[in-house]
Amino acid sequence: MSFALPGLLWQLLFFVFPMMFLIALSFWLVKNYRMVPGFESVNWVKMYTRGYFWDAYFYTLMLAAISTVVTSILAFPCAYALAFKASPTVRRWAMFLLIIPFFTSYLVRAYSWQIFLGNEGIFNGLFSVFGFGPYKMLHTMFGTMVGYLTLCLPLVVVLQLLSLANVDKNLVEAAWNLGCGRVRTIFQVIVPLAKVGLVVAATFCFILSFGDFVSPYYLGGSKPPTLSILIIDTTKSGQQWPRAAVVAITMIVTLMIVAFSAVTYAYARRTRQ
Amino acid sequence: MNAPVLVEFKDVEKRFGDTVAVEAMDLQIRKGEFLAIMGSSGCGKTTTLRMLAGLEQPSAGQILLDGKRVDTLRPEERDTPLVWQSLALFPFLSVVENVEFGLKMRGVDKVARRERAMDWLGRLDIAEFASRSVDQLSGGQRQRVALARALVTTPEILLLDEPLSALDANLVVRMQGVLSKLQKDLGITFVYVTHSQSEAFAMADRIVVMSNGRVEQIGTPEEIYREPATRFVAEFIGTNNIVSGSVTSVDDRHTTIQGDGVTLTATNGSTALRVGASATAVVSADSVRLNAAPSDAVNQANQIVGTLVSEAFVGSVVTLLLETPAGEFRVQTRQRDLAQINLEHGAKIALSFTPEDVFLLPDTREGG
Repeated sequence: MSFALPGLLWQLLFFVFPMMFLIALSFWLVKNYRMVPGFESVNWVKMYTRGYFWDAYFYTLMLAAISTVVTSILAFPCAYALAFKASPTVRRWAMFLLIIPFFTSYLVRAYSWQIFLGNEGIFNGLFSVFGFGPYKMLHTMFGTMVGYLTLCLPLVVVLQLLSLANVDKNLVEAAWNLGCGRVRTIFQVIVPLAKVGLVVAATFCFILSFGDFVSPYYLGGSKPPTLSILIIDTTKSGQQWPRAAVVAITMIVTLMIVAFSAVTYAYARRTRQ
Repeated sequence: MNAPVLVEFKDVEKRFGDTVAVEAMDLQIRKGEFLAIMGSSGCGKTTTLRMLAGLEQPSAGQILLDGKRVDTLRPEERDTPLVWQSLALFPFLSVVENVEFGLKMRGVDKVARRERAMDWLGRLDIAEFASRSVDQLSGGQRQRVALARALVTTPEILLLDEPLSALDANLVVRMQGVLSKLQKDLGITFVYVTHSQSEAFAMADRIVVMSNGRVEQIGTPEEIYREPATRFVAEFIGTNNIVSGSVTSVDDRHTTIQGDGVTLTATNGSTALRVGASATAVVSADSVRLNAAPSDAVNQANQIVGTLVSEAFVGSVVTLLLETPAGEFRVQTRQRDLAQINLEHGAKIALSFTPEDVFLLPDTREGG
C-alpha cells in the first residue's frame, strides 16, 4: 500500500484534480469577459444545441478516422518489409531513422509543408514545368491529411514493426506449407498474430489526429473547423473558457470510449463459431 | 520392399553463405515407407526436410516428387505438409479451425471441410476438444491436432521435424505407437527427422544417418545397427564398442585385427581387408558376454578383461561400463543374467564375443 502511495498521489494531483477542475469549469459563467464560479448548465445546453458544434464534432471524427485508416494502410507495407524482408542491420538503421522525425518539433515540420503545398509552392512549381496545375493543396482537407501523416506515420510504422517482428516465423511457414499463398498469408495469419500491435498503433494515430490543431490550422486553413480549432475560437471570442471546457470534456470522453473499445477489440478472444 | 520411388534428391546441395548445410545428397524415398533422417544437431537433416517442403531452395541439384521437379515450386504449390517441432499451431484459431486450415486454402466449402476436420479429430481421439482454443490443450493433445492438420488434405507424404522432442518419455512411446499405426493404416510416406536413435529405430523402415551435411549411411535399422558403413555411424549408435587396430591375418573365413591389448577375429563381411591395413572393429554392447571369473586365457581372440566403472539400470536391461586396455567397453545384458557377477566397482570382469558379432570396417579417415 505504501508503495502505491506516490503513484496514487501523482494520479490525484495531475489527472483527477485537473479533470475535476475542467468539469467544474464547464458549469461556470462568463460575465463582462470575466469568469464567475457557479453551477449552471447553460454552457452544455448552448454548445450541444448548436449545429456548428456537432458539425465540428463529426468532421473531426471523420478526419481522425480517415487519418487512422490511411496511415495504417500506408505504414503496413513499410513495417512488413522491415520485419520480414530486411536484414537485421537494415532494420536497425530503419528504426533509428524512424525515430529522427521526433527530434524536430511537429509544429515546425507541419509548418514547413506550407512551402511545398502552397499555390506558389514547390510541388505546384514542379507541376507547372509539365504544364499541370496549379492544384489547391494548402488549406484543404488534403493539406490536413498531409499534416496528420507527418504526425502519425513514423510512430505507426515503429509500433507496427515491433508487433510484426514478434510474429513467429514458423507460423508463417506453416501457413505456406498448408497451401496458403504469400498475400493470403498476410491477412490469414500475420495480421491476426500482430493484431494487438496493429490496433494499438491505429489507436495512437486516432488519438493524435483527433486532438491535433496544428494540421487543420496551418495546412487545412481552419475550414471547416475541427474541435481543437473550436476550442481556440471559443476562448478567443469572449473568454468563453467554460464553453471550451465543454468541448474538451466531450473530446476526452470520446477518446476514452475509442481507446477502451480498441483495447477490448485488440485483446478479444475469438469466440466459438 | 521395392515400392516405386516417390521422392528423389539428385546431387542436392544447400549453402548458407560460406556454410555448407547439405552436400552431394542423393536419396530416394519410396512410396509408403517410413524413412527416418537421423543425426546430431547441425548435420543438415532439418535442412533436407525443409528443402523437400520448399521452405529452403537447394543451391544446386534437383528434387523430384512423383517424377516431377518440385525444387522450383513455392511451398504452397507443393503437397508436402510438415509437422513442426514447435507444432506451429495457429493460436488465434480453435482446434477444429486449425485442422480445417489446409482445406480452406484449397477452397473446400465450409460444411465439407468441417466434416473432414471433425472426422480427423475423431480418428486421433480429440474430437471432444474441437471448439477449444489450442493453448487449452496438453502437449500430447496438441501433437494430435498438428497431425490432424497436416493429414486432413490426404497427402501422399508427411514430413515430421522432431515432433516428439518436447514430450515426456512415456508420452513419446505412446505417440510413437500412434505414428506407426497411422503410417501403416494410411499407407503414405513418412519422412521423420530426429536426433533420437530410439525414435528412429522404433518406427522407421529405413534410416538415413547424416553428419556434416553428408549422408553417412542409408539402410534398415538392422543394417545401421549391425553393419555400420562408417566409423561415424558406429559411434553415433551409442551402444557400440569400437576398437581401432591393424589387420594381422586374413583367411577364407575370418579376419583378425590387433588392437590395444585385444585381438579380435571377425567373420569376413562384404569388404575384404588386406593384412597391414588399419581397420575399425565394432562390437555392439548387447552381443558381449560376461564371464564371472577372469580366466588366464585372456590372450585368446575376442576376449578382454575390464574393470567395472559404473552400471545403469533401465527397466530389465542393465548397461555396464568397463575400463579395458582397448578403451571403454559397454555391455548390455538382462538383469537376471547378472546373478553370478560381482558388481562391485573395480571388480575385474572377463568379456567375450563371437566372431559373428564383430563387424569390421576399413579406416577411410573420413567423416568421423
